[in-house]
Amino acid sequence: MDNELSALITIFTEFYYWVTVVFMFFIHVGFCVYEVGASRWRNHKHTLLKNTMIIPLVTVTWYLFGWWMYFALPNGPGITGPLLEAGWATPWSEFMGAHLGGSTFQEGLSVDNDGWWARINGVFFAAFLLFSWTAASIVSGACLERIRPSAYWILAVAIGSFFWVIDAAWGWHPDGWMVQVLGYHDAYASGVIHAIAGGFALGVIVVLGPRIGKFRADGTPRNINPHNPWLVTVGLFLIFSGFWGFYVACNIPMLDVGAGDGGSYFTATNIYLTPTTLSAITFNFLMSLSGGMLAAFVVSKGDVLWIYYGGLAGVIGASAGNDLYHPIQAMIIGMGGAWVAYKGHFFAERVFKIDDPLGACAVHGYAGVYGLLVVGFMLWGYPASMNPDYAHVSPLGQLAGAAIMFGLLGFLPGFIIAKILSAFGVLRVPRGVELAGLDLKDIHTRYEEKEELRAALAKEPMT
Amino acid sequence: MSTGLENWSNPETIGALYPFVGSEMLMFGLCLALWLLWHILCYVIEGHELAEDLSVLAGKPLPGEEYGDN
Repeated sequence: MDNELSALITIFTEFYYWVTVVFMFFIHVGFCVYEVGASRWRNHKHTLLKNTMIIPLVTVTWYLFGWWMYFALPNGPGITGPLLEAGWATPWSEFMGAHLGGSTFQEGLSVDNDGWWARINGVFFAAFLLFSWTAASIVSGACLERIRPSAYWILAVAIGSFFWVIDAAWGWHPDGWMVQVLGYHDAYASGVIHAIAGGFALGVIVVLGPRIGKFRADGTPRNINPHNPWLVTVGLFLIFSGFWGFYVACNIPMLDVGAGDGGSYFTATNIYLTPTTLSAITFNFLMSLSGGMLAAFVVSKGDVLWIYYGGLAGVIGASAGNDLYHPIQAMIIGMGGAWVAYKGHFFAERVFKIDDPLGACAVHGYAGVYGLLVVGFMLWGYPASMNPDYAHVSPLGQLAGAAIMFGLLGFLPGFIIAKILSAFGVLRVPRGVELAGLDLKDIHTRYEEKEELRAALAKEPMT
Repeated sequence: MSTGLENWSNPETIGALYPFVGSEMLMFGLCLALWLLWHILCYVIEGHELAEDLSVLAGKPLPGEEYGDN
């Protein structure tokens, strides 16, 4: 940091990611508010508890192994190369703490090669961490009102600090093997966050089963309406707000990607280090959100909650290619995302008896997969990387990518871990507690207070 | 006596700022153990809570109004 330009770029980048983290915090606030609004009153505190504890648990485990995995696993390992060195990201690294970058003592770290990480590590770590919370929160909504919180927290660590990091290393890293071999393109995480979390959630709820009372004896579903639509509205608007931070956190704000004549060309890039602009993603975020909301109005016949879900599904459906689409393309693709989410949700509910209370599998999972597949056709032949030796975007590469995200790293681990927890009898709350409410202790306390009040009134009647 | 930094002269040469530099692996082990212990404690606490809930449900009928589905 001995000249103004490098200091400016470094400190601007540091600040840029810090701001994205603050914005993305709204996503988590939104999920908490939204889930409480959607749950019934007898489960409110447990619903809050379940989602709130994601914050410390995923943060600590992200520190312990998640962050390192992102840099160590791009080759598989064993698919395109070995495990990679990532000395700045190991939990015992001196760069994983306050550091000025002036000297190092750790073997394998050097100021010349890794000094940038001394400044940027914490904020970049945090930006990725907020994606991890989001992945875990998506699963939380699907398990509403029946999962044991302690079981959910194991699942949250699994998706938030382990499985999504593998897919990020493979398909959301400039040198990930899926980028190299498949030409996988997923700029704003249709698959890397949404499809994997939706798939994982589906795997869990297939084992967990529906809430008591969700389906009638003849198998037809009951519509369990949100307890408080106002809270649902506020929660989803907070998620929309946080999504802005999510989008910009997926970019590198200022990077020299090199000019054709060998000189310098500074630009914002996506996570693959290929050029884009904040302007482009702002256009496309807004237009895909709008497309999703417009289509959801039509397909749901004006159900306001599905219009919010549709907005999210619109953004998620277009996110994989929102660095490159035209805004009107983003809008039309967003419309498709909302349609896929709505139809997919009710199809799974009707045919497979899937109880997905907040539409998480549909909005994130099915719309995310759709977004990946659309990119294969819309951006067919585009270079997936600045490296000319890597594969180009193709429908087949995106199809394989969607199968890996939703199926291999999403549904399968969710299903297996839930099966193991279920086998030990620790996945779901007992039937009586589910019927009475997970907040039974509080309800019982109120009952006792009422008894005491009655006794007091009997002794000294109010006049 | 200092647990780390002794002065701010020559900031361009300063590396780690936190105290007890060199104890990173020990702190990692501690953090790992605390995380695992937390999950165990969590299951124990929750198990007690559910057992208590079930005994309440089994022993004392509760007024239906408290469990209204609203």
